[in-house]
Parts: sequence; structure tokens; C-alpha cells
Amino acid sequence: MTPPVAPYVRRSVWTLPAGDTTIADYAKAVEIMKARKPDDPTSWSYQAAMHGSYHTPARPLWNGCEHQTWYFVCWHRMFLYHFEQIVRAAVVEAGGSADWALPFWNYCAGGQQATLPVAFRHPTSNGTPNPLYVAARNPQINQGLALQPAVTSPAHALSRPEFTGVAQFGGGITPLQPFSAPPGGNTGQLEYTPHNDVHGTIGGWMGDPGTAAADPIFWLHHSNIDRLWEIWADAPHTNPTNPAWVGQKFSFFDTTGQVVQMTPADVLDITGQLGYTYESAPPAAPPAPPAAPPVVEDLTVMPPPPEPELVGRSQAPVTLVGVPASVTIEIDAQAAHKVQGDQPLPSHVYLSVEEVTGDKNPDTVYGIYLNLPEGAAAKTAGSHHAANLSFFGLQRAQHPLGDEPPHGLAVTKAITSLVRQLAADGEWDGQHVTVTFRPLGLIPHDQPELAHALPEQMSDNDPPVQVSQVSILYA
Amino acid sequence: MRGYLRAVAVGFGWTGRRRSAELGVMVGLTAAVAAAWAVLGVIALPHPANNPAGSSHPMPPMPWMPGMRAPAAVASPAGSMLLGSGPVLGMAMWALMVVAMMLPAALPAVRYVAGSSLYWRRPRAMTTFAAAYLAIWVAYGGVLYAVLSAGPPVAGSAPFAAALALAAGWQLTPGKSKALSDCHRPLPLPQRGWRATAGAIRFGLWNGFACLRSCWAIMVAMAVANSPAVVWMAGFTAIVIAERFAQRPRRTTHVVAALLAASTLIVAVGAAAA
Repeated sequence: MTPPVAPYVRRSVWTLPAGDTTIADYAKAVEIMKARKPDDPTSWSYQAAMHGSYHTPARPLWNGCEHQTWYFVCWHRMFLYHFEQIVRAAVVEAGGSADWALPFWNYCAGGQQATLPVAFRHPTSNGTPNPLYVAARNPQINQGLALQPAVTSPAHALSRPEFTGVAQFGGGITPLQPFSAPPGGNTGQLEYTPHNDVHGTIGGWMGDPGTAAADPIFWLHHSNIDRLWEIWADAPHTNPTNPAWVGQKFSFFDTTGQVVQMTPADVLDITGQLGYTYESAPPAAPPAPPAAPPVVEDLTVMPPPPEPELVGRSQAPVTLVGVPASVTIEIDAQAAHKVQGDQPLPSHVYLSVEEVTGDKNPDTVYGIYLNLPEGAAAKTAGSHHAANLSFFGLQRAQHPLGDEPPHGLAVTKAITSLVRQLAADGEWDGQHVTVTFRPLGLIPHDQPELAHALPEQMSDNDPPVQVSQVSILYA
Repeated sequence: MRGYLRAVAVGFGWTGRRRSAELGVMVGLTAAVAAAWAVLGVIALPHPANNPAGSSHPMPPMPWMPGMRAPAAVASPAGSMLLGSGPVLGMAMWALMVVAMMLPAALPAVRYVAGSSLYWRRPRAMTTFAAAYLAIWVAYGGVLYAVLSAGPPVAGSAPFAAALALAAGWQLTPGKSKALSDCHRPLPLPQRGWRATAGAIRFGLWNGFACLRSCWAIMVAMAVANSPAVVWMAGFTAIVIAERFAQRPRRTTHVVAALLAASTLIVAVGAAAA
């Protein structure tokens, strides 16, 4: 592949200069693509269905999205690359800019940037239907409320030293094992937060892989996820070199509707191989001081930690219906001693939420808190926050659209720093752990102090989601 | 293919990181599978002095017991292993058969149980699960024995061909897909106390029952199979393992359906020719 002379620049949607036409061009292109025939691979519905679709029979290359695998970041990079070229051709067709590039939604910057870009919020634009608007979103998103920092923060993902491994950046080695022994989630930390959590908070079409890519904001969200992979890799970190990863072939359509193949090895250098780059992250709006010290794990962990050992497990499942719920875990002294010896704390602590099942994504994202006093205020909750639980792909995991084994969702996250902090504060006795799930609602962007507060409108009418077991592991 | 073989190797506990106290049980279960195959192989392989076409000929001395004669249908390569020799020996043969054929498919779940258990409970949890899983299959043998004994005598190749056709048809049903899906699903495994034991038993029964719903028809074929059953056993075991580790389960079950249909034809044509 010949490196292009001047790379296309993907820019932050919230800080585009006045008079910039990137979003207007995108809207026109979306309209053009929506008008194409459904069997045209460059049509809007076909591109969306390549990610996932409930329409049957499936057409060629539909339902191809890679989730809960180590191909998550690279498949979506390829998908966006081809989509961007198709959109650019449509932009040019509409008389727009020939150097159009897909913008990214940098919700990580917080403040107003954590709200849905204005151009996507309203059903009409200048009196005509707005092609960027989707009604099937959490209404508060279209009203301009902001995603919480707990949902948008990439800090934990970017702090992961390895691409593969337990609770690392990019996901576990696939193919999926029948019964990946816990904590065997194949999902990488970037995929959990912010990726899944942003999908889950926007909800509606975005809450389900079978419909997500039909929402025009999907592509700006994934542009940001792709940017975060680039930031992690530039840190520098090492992408997999395993031939099973670098050589895996995936197929897409080019601007003329011809099938083209790509492997991860073709997309590791975005400028040299793919001809695009990201503008440097623009200065963020000054974020409010977070209620808790960010949970950033040790950066010095080399080599990767040993296989985690189960030390505690909930005795019964818990069902989430939209209101707070807790389980208590008893830490087994014998198992804990085997790992940590006479040290007061183990070197690594993991939280694992396993076999999460349900019929429908409730479009609620939960914060998971350790040893949180009941009804605790926002600030207290922030200092006990361990992880999130969101349900992107809940139905599809159990009823795969493609030909793949079914599974439940799972979250595994390193929580060593939080446990050390709790121990220092006298809130960790090493014998009992209470794990609390609380809904993480949307908040006004100028009231960051409401982060982790219980949402004002809570009901227990959510479609139920069952969490089979919650475990604590030491290493 | 390499990824598939790696998945099998990891699932069987041959490679990959193992937790303490896991290896001994995995080695023990693998040895049990190997021993079951060895015994069945010795019993079922055609002997030069034997006539593979019928069971009426006198048996040769059992090789491990010089001077003793084996009960006819046990040592006979022709005649059902389950039905040919009375309930006790028949069920013993059946138990060996399910250890040989069905235990390998449960090894990934046994490893899952290991990883999901406190280290000092690990061997107990793994063996409890395996015992519950096998109990389902042994009980199924009892049901088959009762049902098939009550009917007309099973003789010739026709029942076997019919069972193969039944198995091929079952492959294409939603019940088969659901069963194979359920083979991949874990149940909660509480940490300790009676709940932990009950959890391992419940998971073993659930997983065994899912496996039974998936493979009941080919085991009907095994129950009525004639000589040389060990070859069919090997083929069916390969099918069970292939389906258990399939990355594309739908395609795999369809390929297996075609293989079973082809086998039906071969057996039926063979019977007609004879």
C-alpha cells in the first residue's frame, strides 16, 4: 500500500472551527446512503447490517462485528476505514469536501463534550428531517444531558500494560473456549469502558450490536475508540504479534461495492497504511475534580501477573431491575493466604462479574462499588467505585446472529488500587466484601458533582438482568 | 484448524496454565477415558477365531483370564453391548462406553469447575461434577435397557440403520441446537459448604442432561450396534468432540447430519447386500 502524501485528519466533533462543514457534509452523505437500495453494499442499512442486523436472510458480510474477542479493535478499525471511504465518496457526490474525514466524539474530555453533539439531537434541521437524529436513544441523551466520567474515562484501559491477558487492554486470545474458566472474559478493558458503557448509556439502537451502526453517532463513537487504541499503542505498548491475530482475514466492501480483504497487519500504522491521522486531543474543558482518585493500576507490572486465584464468591445470583442491589462475598482465609502469604494485601486483586444474562438490554449502566454504605452520597460512592456493568450485546451473546456458540456477558477488572485505598481508609477487612450495583444515570454537564449520585428517576421496572455470580480473585 | 486443535488441547487440560490441584484430577479423568477405551477395545475388536457376522459361535478364552470363557454377548463383537448379556454386565459395558465416549466432551466443563472453585475444594468439586455428569448418562443406559428389552429382540442391521437415520434427523432440529447451546452454559458454583456441593452436582446434572439431549440419538445407535462397535464408538466420539468444540456449531451439526445420513445408507445397503 502506498502511503498517501497528505493524510486525512479525523478531528474532534466538539471543537471543529466555526463554519466547518464536516458535520453538514456527513449529514448529506447519510441522506444519500439512506436513499440507496438496501442491497447496495454502500447503502446506509447495508453498512449498518455488516455490524449486525436482525433482518433475515442475512446478505453477504452481514453480522460480522467482533466483540468480546481480541479482534475487537482491529475489526472496527477496518470497518470504519471502509465506511469512511464510502461516506467520503458520497460527500464528494453531494458537492462537499474531498478531504472529508470521519470526526470523533471525544466524550472523554468531559463537560459539554460529554453530551451528544448538537447536530445529532433534533428530529429536524432547518425545517427538514435531520438524518443524524435517531429517536431510539435514551431521551435524556437527545435532551443534551452528559455521560458521566465513570462511563467515559479511558484511564483504566490506557493504563493496561498488555494487549492480551486477564483484564488487559485488548481482549483475551480467541477463539472462544467452551467454558473460558473465569476470569476468562475475552473482553478487553477498552471494550468495556468507555466502549460498552457509552453504547449502553445512549441505549436504544446503540444498546444492541444488531442495530447500533444504524445510529449515525455510532461512527463518531467508534472513531474515538479507534483513536484511544492509537493513543495506547503510541504510549508505547505492543500490539499482538501472534500470527493468529496479525494474519486473521476480514472482508469488507470498498466504495464500488467490491469485496476487499484485510488483516490486522494491514492496519497497525494508520498514517502509513491507511492514510489518516487524528488531530491531537484538543484541550479539554476543565473537568470537575473527580470525587475519587482515579483507579489506575500499577504501570510497572512486568511481567504480567500470574493466573488469578479465586478467593471469594457470592453464594447466590443477583437480579438487577433498575434499582441498587448488593451481594456479600466472604473471602476464604485459606485461599487468600495461599496467594498473599503473610502480606497484608495481595499484589493484585480482581473483581469478576460472571455469566450476566437477560432477554433485553435495559439500557441502564450500573456502577459497581465495593463496601459502599447503603444509600451513600455521590462523593462517598465515587471513592468506592470499582467498575461498571453495561449490557451491550446481552441478547446477542445468548442468541448469536452468526454461527457461534452462545455465552453470557462477563466483566473482569483489576481493582488493586481501589482495594489498597479502601484498606488505607480502614474500609477493607480482607474477610467480607459487599459489592453494590447502582444505576449510573446521565447528569447535567455543568453539575459534575452529581456523578455517582443515585438517579432521581429510578424504577424497578427494567427488563431483569441476572448476574450469576460475583467473584474476588487474588494474584 | 490450528486454533481448533489448540482449543481442544486447552479444553482437555493438555496445555495452558493449570491451577493447583487441577492437574491430578485431569490426569485421573483422562486415564479413566483411556482405560475405558482399552477395555472396550480388547472386548470388542474382532478376534481372528471369531466370526464377526454372528454371535452364536463359541467365544475364545478371555485374554486376561486364561482358561475362562467370556459370557457370550460381552466378548462377542456381534450383538449389542448393552442388551446382549443381562442387566448387570450390560450396564457395566454401558458405563464403560459413556466414560469412553462422553467424558472427553465434559473435560472443558471440568476445567471450568476447577477455575471456579477455591483451590482446596478443587479436586472434590471436579470429581463431584464429573460423577453427576456420568450419572445422567448411566441412567439413560438404564432407560434404554428397559425400553429395548421390553420390545422385540434387536437383531440384524436394521435397528442400527434406523437409529442412524434418527440421529441424522435429530441433528437438524431446533432441539439439537438448543441442547448444543446449553452444553456451553455454566451454572452458578457457590463457594463452599453444602451449597458448593449442591452447585457442582446441579451443574453436572444440567451439563450431562444438555449433552444427553444433544447426543441421545447416536447413543441409541450404540445401544443397538453390532460388531465392530468399537469403530462406530470411535466415529461417534469424534463427532461428539467436534460438536463440543465447534466454533461454528450450526455448520458442524449440519456436516455431522450428512455424515450420519451417509452412514445410514452404507449400513442399509450393506444389510441389503448381505
